[in-house]
Amino acid sequence: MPEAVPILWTKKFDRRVLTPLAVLRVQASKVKELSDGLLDAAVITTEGAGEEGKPVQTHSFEISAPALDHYTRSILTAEHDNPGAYPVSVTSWYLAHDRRNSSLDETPCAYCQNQDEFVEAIKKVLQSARLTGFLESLIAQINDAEAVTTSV
Amino acid sequence: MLSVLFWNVQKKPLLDRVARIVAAHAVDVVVLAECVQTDAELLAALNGARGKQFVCPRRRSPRFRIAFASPIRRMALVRDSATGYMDVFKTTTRANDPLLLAVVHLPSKQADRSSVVQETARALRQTEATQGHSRTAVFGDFNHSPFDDVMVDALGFHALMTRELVARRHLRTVAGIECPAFFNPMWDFLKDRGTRPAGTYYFRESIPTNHFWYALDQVLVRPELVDKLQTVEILESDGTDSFLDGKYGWPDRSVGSDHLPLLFRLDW
Repeated sequence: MPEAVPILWTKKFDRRVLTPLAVLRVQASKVKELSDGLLDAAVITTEGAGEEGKPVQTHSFEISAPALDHYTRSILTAEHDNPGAYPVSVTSWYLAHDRRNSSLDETPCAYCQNQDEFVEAIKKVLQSARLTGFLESLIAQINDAEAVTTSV
Repeated sequence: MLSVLFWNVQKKPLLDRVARIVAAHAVDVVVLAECVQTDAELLAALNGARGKQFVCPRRRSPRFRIAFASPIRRMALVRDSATGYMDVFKTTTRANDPLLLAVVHLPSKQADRSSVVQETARALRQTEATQGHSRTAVFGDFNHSPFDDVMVDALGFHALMTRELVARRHLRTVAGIECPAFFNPMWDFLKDRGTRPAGTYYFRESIPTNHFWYALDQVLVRPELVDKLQTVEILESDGTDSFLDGKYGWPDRSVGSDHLPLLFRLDW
């Protein structure tokens, strides 16, 4: 009688898994509401070549302040094979802890094997104190500009 | 006339030399990469002598040190990123329409990341669309040569070598994307210039394929500014002392940076 072949898969696959782009778009869709309309956000995707010329998709998460000359900052980029979804690399200064002279260092990058790791990396960026401070700084400048306009 | 200086100072204390360049060439905009000195130290160096009074933009990414003086009235940051590879400034002068001055410091070519360059070029095109014009000069340390694919690729910087090409092929549609061209005047330096530098950076390593001189520091202008670009210079001295090794003619790292400064003038 043949020996039973063990099942080597570790778990059932998650059929609810989403692409990095879908996860980012949901986050971007909330920015206007969370800033009372002062800030806007979008996810822009480009296709290019990554390491060793492999085709990749790069998603840039961009926050803009229409009242400040349409100032726009890409707060992170997420890059993965094209076609593909995971693993995905997230690059952003906001992944780093506050460091002096971080400006001259390589930009921090999180390599995410799956959706759970990707969500954790995005959460780290979106909830970082530096990003919160930056966004509040933008809102303060918009408020200043509006106050000046009102007083004139 | 608008004089713009870019220099990757390799984390060295070279502000006195920057100040000498500014005085010798009547520079209006100073952009430094890999500068570990503060804005205050930069302004102290530039404003120490009687002459132009420089100020720093209210916002800029930490990767650059930037100062500007009259005739520029304002440099407003309209685009940056959490990778820090590019800042774009809406630059207002007294007499003319605003310009977009984009400053870049891209990752090294060895990193083999053309996707970064393509994303940077895409972001610049988007900024031009948002700002409603393409009076754009992009300059800095591209970490690529003018002939590298990502510099010439329509989906990259689409930077062409002659004014005539840029006039004739100023807009191409590739993969459904409209790709405006840049003129890249740095091609003119890639030749035998006698004892003068054939680039801004000299790579001494013993590798099989080595061009030795590399024009990593470049300025590119859109067709709208081609006729306004008056001069582009790779500086060999600060007006007093040479940046070059007296024997070999490459950048003398013992007294300066491993990069040579780049100076360009726009009739604006």
